Amino acid sequence: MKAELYDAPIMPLLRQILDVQREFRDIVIAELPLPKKTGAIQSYILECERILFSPRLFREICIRLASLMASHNRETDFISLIFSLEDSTLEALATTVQSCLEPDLVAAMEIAVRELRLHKLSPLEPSLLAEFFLAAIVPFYTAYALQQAPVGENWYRGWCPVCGQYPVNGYNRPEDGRRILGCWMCETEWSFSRLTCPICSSNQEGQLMLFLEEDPRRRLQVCDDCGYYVKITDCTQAQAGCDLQLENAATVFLDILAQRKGYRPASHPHRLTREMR
Amino acid sequence: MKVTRREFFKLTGLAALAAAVVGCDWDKDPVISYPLVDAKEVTTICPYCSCGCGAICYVVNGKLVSVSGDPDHPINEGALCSKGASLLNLNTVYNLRTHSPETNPNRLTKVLYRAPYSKVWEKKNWRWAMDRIARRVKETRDATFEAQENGVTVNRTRAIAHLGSAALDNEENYLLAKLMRSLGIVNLDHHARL
Repeated sequence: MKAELYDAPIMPLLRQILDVQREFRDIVIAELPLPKKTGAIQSYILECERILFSPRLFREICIRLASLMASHNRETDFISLIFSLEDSTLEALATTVQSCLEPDLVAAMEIAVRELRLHKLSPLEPSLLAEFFLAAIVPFYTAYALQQAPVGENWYRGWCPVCGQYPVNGYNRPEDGRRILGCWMCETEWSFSRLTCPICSSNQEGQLMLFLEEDPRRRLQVCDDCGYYVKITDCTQAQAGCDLQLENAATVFLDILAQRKGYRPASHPHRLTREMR
Repeated sequence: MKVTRREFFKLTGLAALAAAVVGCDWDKDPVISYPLVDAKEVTTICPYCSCGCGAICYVVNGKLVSVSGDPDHPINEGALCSKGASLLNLNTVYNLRTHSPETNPNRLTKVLYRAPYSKVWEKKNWRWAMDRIARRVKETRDATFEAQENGVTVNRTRAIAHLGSAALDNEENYLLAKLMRSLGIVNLDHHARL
């Protein structure tokens, strides 16, 4: 397919980052075991709880990721910054992100970077530092989510039951065609109505789907009521579902096309606050 | 090259980080000029029997292209029987000459009327048909209406019967039953046998 030309530049790096994240997720689970919780979830689990965090492990993940970045682009020098930070600063970074009132974790991380003045220690942009530290903290979130009792089958809300983030993509699962949405942060998957917008719950007259003729399996579900979109991959003809993290990167062309038409990604619902949910 | 997180397009998670590090220039890629196809997923109820299974109709550029079971529907949870699975063929048939699906050319799209003892079908409009049906129902009912039998109030007509189609859903059958009862029709049945 022509649009897969897009995937080529970012996929190798993305796969390597994912490998590092998943390797450290298992290490975090082994080193920081969490008792399983049962019972109903009110809004989402991490609204009242905190992830288990280790500055030592965080530093190790950062170093691994930083060397990956440097191998792809010498100008991305995160390593000197990481070595200049003390454990207390890394701990403060994790605490600030989680206690930030901003529900969008990307924005929360950028606020944390600016509050701790990390951008003054590096020539890189604060937003890029935020993305980097977010990638490094992901294993703590995925480890936390994996240790929870399965919540995805009985969760009928548009946001992640574990960390509260809105989804960036999902798929129609092969067994029965149900829509599975995935959290881009903690990789939790949950089922959600196929014809309902996860942001505003609108389902009037069906949802508009947009796709390229070259690849009708990958679609945009857009909501004309709220203007947000989610990327959906149709796996009903496939043997299994898909890795939503890889699929997110493979469908970047859909993000571009949707945003050119004025839609916004559901994963960044800037107008929504926790109180509005 | 300055490493930056591209703000023009909002990417999420690792895709955003990888794109910033690798330095993709999305604006120069031809894919952004590709046209998007408009499609819509709308729900419907299978009309074949009184189970009322849910189905999702997939409409591309205003044309129905596929129908599948609705996984969120509490009755069928995504499954359809063999008859329901062929719902698309209510509208679309496969053209053996062109080897492509097309709207069934034999679908009736106009009211057809064949007069008693006539051999030809005449095209009529809906207004004519509705007026005629209403007039004939009224005439027959008024001529055969029984108010009492053996001193018991019955308020009925036995000259008209109504047989509901198996293709009617529960709600349509409910409304039809109310209408027929209000006319005094007692020979009333439906077609679905499950």
